[in-house]
Parts: sequence; C-alpha cells; structure tokens
Amino acid sequence: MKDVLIDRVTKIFGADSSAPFTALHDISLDIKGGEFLSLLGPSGCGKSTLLRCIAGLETPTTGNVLVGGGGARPGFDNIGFVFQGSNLLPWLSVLDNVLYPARVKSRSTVEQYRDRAHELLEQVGLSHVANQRPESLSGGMQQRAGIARGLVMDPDILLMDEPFSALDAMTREELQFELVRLHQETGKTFIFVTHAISEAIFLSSRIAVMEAFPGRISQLIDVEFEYPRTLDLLNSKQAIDIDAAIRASIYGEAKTQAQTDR
Amino acid sequence: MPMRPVILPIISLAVLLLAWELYVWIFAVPSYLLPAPSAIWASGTQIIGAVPIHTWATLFTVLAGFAVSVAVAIPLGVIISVNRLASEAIYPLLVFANAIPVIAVAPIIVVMLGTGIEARLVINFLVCFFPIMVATAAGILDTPKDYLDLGKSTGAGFMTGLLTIRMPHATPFIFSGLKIGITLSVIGAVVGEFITSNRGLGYLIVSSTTNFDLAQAMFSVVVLAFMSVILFQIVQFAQKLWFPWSIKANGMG
Repeated sequence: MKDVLIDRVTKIFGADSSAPFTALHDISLDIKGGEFLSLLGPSGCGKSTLLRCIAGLETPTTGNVLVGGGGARPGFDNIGFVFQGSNLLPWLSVLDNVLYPARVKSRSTVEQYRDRAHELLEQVGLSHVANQRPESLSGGMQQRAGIARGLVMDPDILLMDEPFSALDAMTREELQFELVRLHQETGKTFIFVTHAISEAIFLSSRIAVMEAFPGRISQLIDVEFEYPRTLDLLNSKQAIDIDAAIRASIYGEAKTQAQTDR
Repeated sequence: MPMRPVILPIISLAVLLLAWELYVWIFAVPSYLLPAPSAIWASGTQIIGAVPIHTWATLFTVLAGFAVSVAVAIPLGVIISVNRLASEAIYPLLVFANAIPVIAVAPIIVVMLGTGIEARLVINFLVCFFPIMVATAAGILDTPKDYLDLGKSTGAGFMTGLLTIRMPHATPFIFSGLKIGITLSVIGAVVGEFITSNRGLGYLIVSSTTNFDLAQAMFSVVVLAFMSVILFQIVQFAQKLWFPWSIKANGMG
C-alpha cells in the first residue's frame, strides 16, 4: 500500500500578478497506506487545492508531493479522483463513464476492465442502470457511478473532493455508510475533502483540520473508533470532544482573524 | 401523436393560398406581375420534365459545397479554439473574409476560376463555412473545466482529450452550425447559379424572369424551399440518429 508524502508544499495562485493568492502555505503531511484521511476546513482554506496537488491537477509552487515514492503525475494509475459534482460525461452510458479512465489508455484496455467495471457497478448498486445515460440517474446514483469510476483502475489511493456536498441529507448518510464499507473492503487509502465536521468524524481514521489565509493545517486529529461504524458514535463523549476541538480550531481562529481585521 | 400541430399550419397555408388566388382573380392581376397559385402549379406541371435535372444540378452544388465547408470548417474551428497563436493569426482574417458580401465577389471568382463547378463551389464555401467553424470553436471552448480535469486526472493527452471530451461536448454546437450551414449552402448554390450556370434552379429563376415568366420562377423558388427544408431535416435526423444525447443538451431540437 502506497504512502503519500506531502513535503513543504506551498501553492500561490497568480504568483507573478499584482495580487498573488497563497492558497497553501508550507504544508507537510505524511499519509499512510490504508488510511481514511479527511481534509476539513472552511472555504478558502485550500483543502481542494491540496487534493488537486496530490492528484497532479495542480503543481505546487514550491515543495513536492510524493506518491508511493514517485512524484504524482496526472493519470498516475495509483490515483482515482472523485469530483464534487459527479462529473459524468453525458454522452456516455453509466458503464462507459466508469470505464472512461480505461478508455483514456486505449480501446483494448477498456475490454480488460469491462468485467471489473461491472463488478464495481454491482458493488455500488448500479448494475441495473449500467447502460443508461447519467441524466436519467438521481444525484446519489450519479455520485455512486463517480466513485466506481474513481476505483476502476484499481488505484491505491482514492481522492474525493467534497463528493457528497450536492446531495440531500439522507442520500448523503447512505453514501457515507457505503464509503466506509468500500474503504474496509478495499483497504485503499482514501483522502476525503469536506467542510462537514460530523461527516469527517464519522468517516475518517484521521482528520487534518485546515485554516484559511493562508491555507495551512492547524491540527491533526486521530479518530480512534473501530470500523464498521454506526451513527451512534457521533453521540459519544469522544466524538463530542473531537467536534469541540475542531470547532475551537476553526471558529476560534476566525474570531481572531476578524479582530485583527478591525 | 396530436394532429393539431400538423393540421393548423396546413389550414393557415390553405387560407393564405386561397386569399392570394381570389385577389389575383378579383383584381385581374396580370400573371407577369403576380401569378396565382394555380398558375404557378400549372407552370410547374408544364416544365416538370426539366425540373429533376435543374434540381439535381443545384443539389449537387449544395451538397458538394457543404461537404467541402464541413471538411474545412470543423478542423479549422478546432485549431482556432485550442491554439492561441493560430487563433490570433487567422481568426481576424476569417472574420474579414466572412464580412465580404459573397454576391459582390462572386463575379470576380467566376473570372478567376471560370464558369465551371469550381467557381460555384468556392462561392458556396464562402457562404457556409463560417457559421460551422464558429460553432465548432464555441463548442470546444465551452467544455466545462471539470470535464477537462477528468481527462487530466486520468492521464489523457491532447488528442485523447480532444476526441473523448472536447469534440463530444462540442457536438450539439457543431450541429447548430451544420443546420445553419446547410441552409446557407442552398443560398450559396443559387448565388453561384445566378452568376454563372446553364443549369440549376437558380439558372431557371434567372431565365424565367428574363422572359417575365413569374409562374415558372416562383415554382422554382418553391422547389428550392422544399430542398432547403428537407436538407435541414436530414441534418436534424442525423443528429437524432447518431448523437441522441446532444439534442437536449443545448435546448435546440
């Protein structure tokens, strides 16, 4: 199982412009194989940017992201990416969407992965709509297909950028359970971006709490509940303490920020 | 299927034709000024033997000109949308070329290329390539960033990204361009035939009006209109057949 090593990563947007924006400031983080790590923080804290740096969609201004000892490159087979909207291509069937990462390699790769794609669709409960187009699916089903697509090339690491933020509360809970199950079944490293505290506590084995202006990691919290988890754990003393610690970290800081602004 | 959308326009048309017929009959308008619908029909039946030859001549120019336009305009649209340098270098020229009224350059083209099919093809091309090219470029440029990120995150190179993401996304745009293009192609063919031809519906119109045979000219116009509508429907049908997902995407059937 591959580790992800984030080594002093700084990302400045518009570095040569008159108004450069520091999205990430000197971030170092070691993510172990098989971990379920959440990047949690308010908007503007750079959590998505950090995820995109790991995926190779952004290049750090300084510093490095190392995936399993090598540099993260776009299309690195080791990485699957699940987008915020399901981001399915409307002209492909659900099955062909799941197979898209294989299609990018070659047409013959598609044939190799066809069985696996069917298996994954079975796993996320979408076998019956494999040949339909995404537009006929509900938001939750679309996002399930998005997750299946992220897993199709059997990557060691699955990156998820607020995948449930557009879903209704009930679908969201349902998918959280499924995600934990998938994590247990596959043993892959899951890196999950969210701004929902309870979601992060329920899902993760570790939470990196981030702060904005400039984006940085303010706290690393281990969430030591056994898997499989039930929603009851959110009412436990331990979860309430974690919740409080995260809120203090995020809102306490925001208050200080507001005061210095004044 | 509800019949109303079919029947209503037929009734309106019938009323219009009847009013026209009565007007000509009541005021005894001479047929060299305004032929009655019945006269146009009669004239059509007289020349019916010659109509297929002229229709085919025009149709050939329309289809050949359209084919050349599509073959040039789509790749050109792709190039100017993905390559900044190419876009800056040639787009202004293309806009300028499109701004020239084709009817004005048509006689020049005939002198340069002669009175054969080549001149008519060039005239046709000048009328119909631009909307197809612009539609293609607009479609390519409209590709959502998320789709491009998907390509990037799966390691798609430029060509793979173009073929699997940008072009499919541009398809509904391209078809909008093709629908405009095929209609303009009919106009282009007629302009070409006005200037230089001894065959075709455009030629038939010119030669009929020279003889004040308005009935025959108008009959030719009707045939042209039908040709235009049928070609448009064929493009639409092709889109429905091969790219059904692209119909809803831009809201234009």
